[in-house]
Amino acid sequence: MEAYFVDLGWLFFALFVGVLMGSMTGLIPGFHVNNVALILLAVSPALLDIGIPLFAVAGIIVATGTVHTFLNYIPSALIGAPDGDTALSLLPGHRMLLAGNAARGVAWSARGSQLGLFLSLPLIVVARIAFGPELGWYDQLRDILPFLLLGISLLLLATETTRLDWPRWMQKMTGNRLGKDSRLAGFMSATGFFLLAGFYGWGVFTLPAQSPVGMPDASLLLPSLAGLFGIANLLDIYATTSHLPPQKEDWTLPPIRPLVVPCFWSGVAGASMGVLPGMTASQATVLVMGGRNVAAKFQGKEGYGMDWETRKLTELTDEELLEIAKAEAEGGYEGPQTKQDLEVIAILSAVNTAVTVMVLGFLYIIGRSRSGATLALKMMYPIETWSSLEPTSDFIRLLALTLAAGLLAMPMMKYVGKGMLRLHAAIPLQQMVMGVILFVVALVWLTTGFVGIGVLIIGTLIGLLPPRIGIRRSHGMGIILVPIMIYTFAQRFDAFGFL
Amino acid sequence: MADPLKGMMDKITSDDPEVRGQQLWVMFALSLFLVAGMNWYAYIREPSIVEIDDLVEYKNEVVKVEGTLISWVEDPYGSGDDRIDAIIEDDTGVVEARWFRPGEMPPIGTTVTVMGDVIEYEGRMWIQSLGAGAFEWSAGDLPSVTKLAIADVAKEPWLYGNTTIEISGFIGETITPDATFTSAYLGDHPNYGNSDHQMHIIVRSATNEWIEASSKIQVRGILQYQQRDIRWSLMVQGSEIIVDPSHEILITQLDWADEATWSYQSGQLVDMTGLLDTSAETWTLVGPNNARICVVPLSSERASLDGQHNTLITFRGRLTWSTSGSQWCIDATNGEAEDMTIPQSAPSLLGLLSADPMGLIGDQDQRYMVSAFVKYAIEPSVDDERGYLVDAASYTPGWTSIAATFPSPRTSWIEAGQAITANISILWDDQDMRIRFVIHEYTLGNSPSPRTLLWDDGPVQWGYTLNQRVLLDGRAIEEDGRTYLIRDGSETKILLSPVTGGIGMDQLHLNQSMTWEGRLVEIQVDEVSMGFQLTDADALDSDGDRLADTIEEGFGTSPYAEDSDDDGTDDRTAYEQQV
Repeated sequence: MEAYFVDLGWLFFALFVGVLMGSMTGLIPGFHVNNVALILLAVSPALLDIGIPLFAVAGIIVATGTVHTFLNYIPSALIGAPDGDTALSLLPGHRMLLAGNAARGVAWSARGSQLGLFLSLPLIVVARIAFGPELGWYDQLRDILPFLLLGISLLLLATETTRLDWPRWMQKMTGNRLGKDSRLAGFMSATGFFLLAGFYGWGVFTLPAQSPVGMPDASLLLPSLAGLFGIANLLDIYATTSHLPPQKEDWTLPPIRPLVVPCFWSGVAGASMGVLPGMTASQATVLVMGGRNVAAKFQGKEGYGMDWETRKLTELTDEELLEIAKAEAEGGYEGPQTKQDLEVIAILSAVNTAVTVMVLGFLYIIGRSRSGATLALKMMYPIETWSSLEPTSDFIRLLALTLAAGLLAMPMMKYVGKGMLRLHAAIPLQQMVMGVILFVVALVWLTTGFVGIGVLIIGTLIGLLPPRIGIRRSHGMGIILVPIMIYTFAQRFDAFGFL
Repeated sequence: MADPLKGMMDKITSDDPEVRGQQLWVMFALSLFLVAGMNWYAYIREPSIVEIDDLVEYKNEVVKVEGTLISWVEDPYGSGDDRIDAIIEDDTGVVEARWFRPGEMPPIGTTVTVMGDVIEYEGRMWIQSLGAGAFEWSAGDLPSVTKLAIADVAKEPWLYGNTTIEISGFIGETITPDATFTSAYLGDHPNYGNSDHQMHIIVRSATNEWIEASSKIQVRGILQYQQRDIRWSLMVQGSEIIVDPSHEILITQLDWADEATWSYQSGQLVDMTGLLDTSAETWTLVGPNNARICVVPLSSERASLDGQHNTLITFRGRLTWSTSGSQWCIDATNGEAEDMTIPQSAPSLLGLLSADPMGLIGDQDQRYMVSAFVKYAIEPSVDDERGYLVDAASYTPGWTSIAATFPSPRTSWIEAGQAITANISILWDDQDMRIRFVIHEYTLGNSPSPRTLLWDDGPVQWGYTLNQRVLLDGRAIEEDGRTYLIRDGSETKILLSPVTGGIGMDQLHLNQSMTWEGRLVEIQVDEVSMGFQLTDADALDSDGDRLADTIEEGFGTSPYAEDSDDDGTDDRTAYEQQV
């Protein structure tokens, strides 16, 4: 009995430390949960020496990851510094901020994360049945993995709805057959950007990285993603926004019922992406939103089919869209624009949390790590996969911690959001943005040195392209997808020897 | 700083349709140029040389490692990969370099510089190299080789530890062309018994040709101390073994009476003399007591041999195991015949296991034929039983012992020291945290002779023969309704459980002091103590004439002939008439 209480004590310890760490990683841009996981992995022998059991260290990582997904919306939307998973929430969230509706955005994000957490739990059971030893879908999936990644990449590119003008010389050469307002031009631009990001990713994976101060597991993925999705956005915010309107203190949580179905599908998409290497919440979101648009079209609903990220309804410009949002906010009524933005925020948060839960599930179902945090768990101690009827005690323990951390993160999100808004009011936006940029640059130098700074600069330049071209920034995920596709195709056809 | 930055951002964010397209093209081209430059730098970058111990800090990076080439093996899993796995050692550690599309390998002991990606997967770390230029060395990096006799190494092996040496000798085992991680002994005389020294060698890569046992060979390799076995071993590459063609190899004549030891000659060229039987589809040689061994002649010789049915011939071929017939065969086709395999010895499989444990355990569907001996007796049962396989019939220093699971049901005992040829797979035993052979099918050799026990040996020595067939002198008595075997002239006794219908307790033998044969087991005598019992026991009767050997020796008849004087009356009847 005494041992039971000791273990329970360690779980509470892991929960509270994890919540604290998750708050830090969620709120500090560029400080990802993966960094915490790898640092904890590096110091785990020392922690073990001072008497902290490894399951408690694992618990800290899991709790950190969960709280991180609840809170990482806040810096993404309120100060415009997203990580790779929340890059897509930047624009609707930012629009909420400019319209004075940031508090509602935080509340809807909290509800989305909560639903993503709870709705993904039954999906773990489904995933266990499908990918466990009985049906063994994972082995079949591995056979078709390169084609699957290629298919999803093409799907993501095909869902690029932006219409663009062909270059003038092309218009002239083809006698205006390739003319203006072309969907194909949008698709080609997205493909070009996707491949550019992939080429960039190949270099990122090939170049060496070493921390000048000896930080462990230096990876150039941090500066590349920070450049593509973070600094580029911050620079745009810096250039285009000088002040923020006063924010309304409306922290009311939205009703659950209308969000259940989209959040459930978010969980499904999260589960699908969680099993695949190189796929993140970002891709899952695009799939969910694409499916939502298709469904809306079939149901004959109006106002859907817009590209939520580029802020472009078919006929509206960015400025007009922002004016609508501001007018809605000032008029005190809620039009389709605000509603859609809030739904997008909720869905993005649901996907983000669902992917985190499912990635933990897949670690125990198929024994593969699909995130830095689960990789750290796997390297820390042997993972006993869930191959029999009952899940392993270790998995149950970590799942319970995930739930507990999620429950604690809900109220925290509100208070932290309030604090952030006060910070916004106290510090001018441009100074804050510049502060964040400098912080990220310092973090990149500390973890990867000047090579990382170079990668960050190139990533930023590439990251500035999508909003100027008018395509989704999520195509930047080619940075991971293209190298993985090259590896997996090479392994399949060339006996390269890659695993 | 703020305003210039804002100004720059404004410049690249122009909505003027006249300049917007050009701006985008410039930005795209600049990005492409920078990314191309980054990739170019990653490609041409000369990686720094790192110490093996520090590789953990360079995961997924391209590095160079400089060290001594310890050994290498081509296509380690026999999967057709164009790949060499090489072991490189520097002053700080050892690392495996997996070289895909490899070029020429230098001799063992060469100082090489290896360039490749540092890969870490599930706790294992290696360097992955691609293409002919990944391994570099110059003439000055080639090892200086010391030519030695085996006796020199035997005298002071530590002087040559971790250096490249070249020795000549006579190999004790046959090496198959495609065998990797094979171990053998190199003697200074072609005959094992006449060798003053035996040098253990580990052949890591395939020889690509048969090397017959007793061949004179010259090998070059690195002498290393094997802590596990407490011995020195020479690591050699199969392709670097030079066979002296002028030396005539010794060919073993198989002994019909010693089938239990045939497995020692597994894979070797042997001679066997017997009557050729070509009447069945599978040809056999017939020996004494109708013992048989199958023979597989060359197809070109089949016609000429067919006319020698029932003729005494000496057949020469390689001793192999027929998987379809589950029996030993002499194969003259050099392994070309179907269903023929050369069972691996347990140490050979151990060599494979130590070289690539995860690879062997990972493929649990892979089956191996192994030829070994049973360490402890296994009783008949309907349950699978855990036991051990060993590489020699009785204890020898450096005995190799591997856990094995014997399949059920078994209707008879498997004796300790009994030869076994088994079809096995290899798995990791979570419960015992060890590697385990799972035996699927097996064929047993002859039961070993029972061991002779002496009363003076005492219970500790007797404990080593538990569950084994033993011989013990004594007299059967009955006391308090129990049967005992008592040492003559003393009160020392053990429980006796005679076999039903045996001779030991009949009127002719009762109360006589004789040699008994039975299985020594340990049973609970009362609530707190254990005791020995000789079960399934009977008086030793070698010729089966129902007269115990001890009595026959006293009576003057032969214990090995039913009718010693050949007068038509068996020895028991003659004894009965006499007494």
